[in-house]
Amino acid sequence: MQKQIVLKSAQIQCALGNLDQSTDLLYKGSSGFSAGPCFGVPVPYAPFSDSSLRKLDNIIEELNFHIPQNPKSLLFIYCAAKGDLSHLEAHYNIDKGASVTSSLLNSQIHRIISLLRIKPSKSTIISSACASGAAALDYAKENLLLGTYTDVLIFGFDVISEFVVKGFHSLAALSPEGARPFDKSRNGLTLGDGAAIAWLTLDTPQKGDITICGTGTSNDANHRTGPSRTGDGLLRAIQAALLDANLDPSNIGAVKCHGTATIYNDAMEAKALFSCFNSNIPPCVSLKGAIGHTSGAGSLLEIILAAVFLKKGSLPPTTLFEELGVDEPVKISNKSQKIDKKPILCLSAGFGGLNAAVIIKEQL
Amino acid sequence: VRPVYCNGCGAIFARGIYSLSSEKLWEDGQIDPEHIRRDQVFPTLLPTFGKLNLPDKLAFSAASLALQSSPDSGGDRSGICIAVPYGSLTTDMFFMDSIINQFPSPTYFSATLPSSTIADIAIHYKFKGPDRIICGGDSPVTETLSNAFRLIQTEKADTILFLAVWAFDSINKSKLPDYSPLENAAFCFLFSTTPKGAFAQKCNFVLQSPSVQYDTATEYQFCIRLLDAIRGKEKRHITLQPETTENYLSIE
Repeated sequence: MQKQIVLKSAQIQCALGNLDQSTDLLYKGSSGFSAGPCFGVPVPYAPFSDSSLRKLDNIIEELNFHIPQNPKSLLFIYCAAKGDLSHLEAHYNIDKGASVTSSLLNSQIHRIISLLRIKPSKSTIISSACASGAAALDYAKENLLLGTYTDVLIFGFDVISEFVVKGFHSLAALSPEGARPFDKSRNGLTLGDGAAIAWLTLDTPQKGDITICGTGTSNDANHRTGPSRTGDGLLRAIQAALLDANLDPSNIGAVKCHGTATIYNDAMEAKALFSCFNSNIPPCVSLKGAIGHTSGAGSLLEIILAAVFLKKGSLPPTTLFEELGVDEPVKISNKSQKIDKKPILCLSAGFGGLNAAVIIKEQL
Repeated sequence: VRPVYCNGCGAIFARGIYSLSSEKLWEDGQIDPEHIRRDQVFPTLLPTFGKLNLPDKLAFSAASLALQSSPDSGGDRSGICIAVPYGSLTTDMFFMDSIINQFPSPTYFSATLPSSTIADIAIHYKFKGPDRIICGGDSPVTETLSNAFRLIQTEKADTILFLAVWAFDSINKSKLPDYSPLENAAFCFLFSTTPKGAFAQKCNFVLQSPSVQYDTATEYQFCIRLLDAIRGKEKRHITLQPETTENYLSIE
């Protein structure tokens, strides 16, 4: 059997807890939202159970993730939009002596490597905004297939901060009531804390293994922060991932949407899905009504959760969804949906016009 | 292995403003690349870059110079690979200033993600293919250049605009007396499977030792040597470090 990119192990932390806790609560339709205000902004948010987890030292201890063997050559990828901005904010708000440059992603990665107690052959930082995790998987897959490294460890991390909340609020992108992905009454996103870590290697997959079988990325070339209104950019990312996986749309069993619950994102995503699948759009889910938008950590975190959905053979409810609010027949539900044991398409998009699609499958 | 040609280059750094076929010295009063004017890199009557912050401004300028001779290089199969080792920290500081002043600026915020550095290039030149945004780690410029070639050679793209941008605004630099970022600079090289124009040169990037780590100064000097070699149409190997042979870009 041909070797493939196998997701050996993974862990997450978000508003609903770790991977097991989040899975359990997602299937119950729970939401991790807390009532606002959030840093003075009157919006709900989806925080970690303990705000001290927003610091790198604490979240890495909480994830308690270890690679069980010493890899021959390890590529470490840190994916984040902003990561830990606590030093920058402290410098401006509390302590002028706090080191601003500690907030550089390039400074953060050194702390992370030390905290994880790893010795990578190479470390790199992928910052493709909210598509960072998917972009990191694309990058990891390429390196593993070419044999540049034997193993890849990806760590994604982004948290709620004054910087991020006030930034998205200045763009009028936050929902005053809470994110309702694809719903008729959706009016913006809800920010969430998130961390995710995944270990991948090139291996012969065993029954039950999750593999990364296709990745694709594209740029809208349309707007700095907003999505293309036509969905053509995301469609090209989907088509690239399908080509990479040697699959056609009929092979896809479900879609884990980006589903931010902004008017334009969900409308664009529905258009892209319709362009790809026509009226046969497979069952879809968005997780952002439950765990919020976890920015640069989000796509990796949600892909790890999608791997669990695939193994369970069902999608959890799309929390806070009630009535379809896009023009295309997107099969989204506030109830759990059974899915075939077919690959899941995972979508994400980010500032800068970025789109990414990742296809995962279970070895049967 | 698919052939890769360098069809253009652009650079803005202490020595001057460069494209494949032109070079301009800085004018009086332009004491740093941050003072670059739009009309120096782009056919326009407008002297300013509007609301573009420094990393975006330098990246866009270098890209415009690289695309001077083939502005139609965009398309679905054209992507961007950029190394921005300082990320958007300088813009982050401006945005924090706006928060402290009680008016969080959406303009600054939208530029506080390193990925936004490529947005205006992608929009203006219609680069709709795959992108890679690398903000640090080990040898970010080398890694990004390696990505540029890999995306073409694995047939994920036919054209890649490769950029390396070091940008830190002087206003914020003055607030951090203990921090010494590299001087402001942006380099851009246009790589494609198809040669375009009389200056097109066949290239290959060989990374025999991907784990070798290079410091910022080495990667910066490599960009300058690469620029000079491409502009001089020299057939040679440009190694990451002059005294080593393992990792290099060859011009055939």
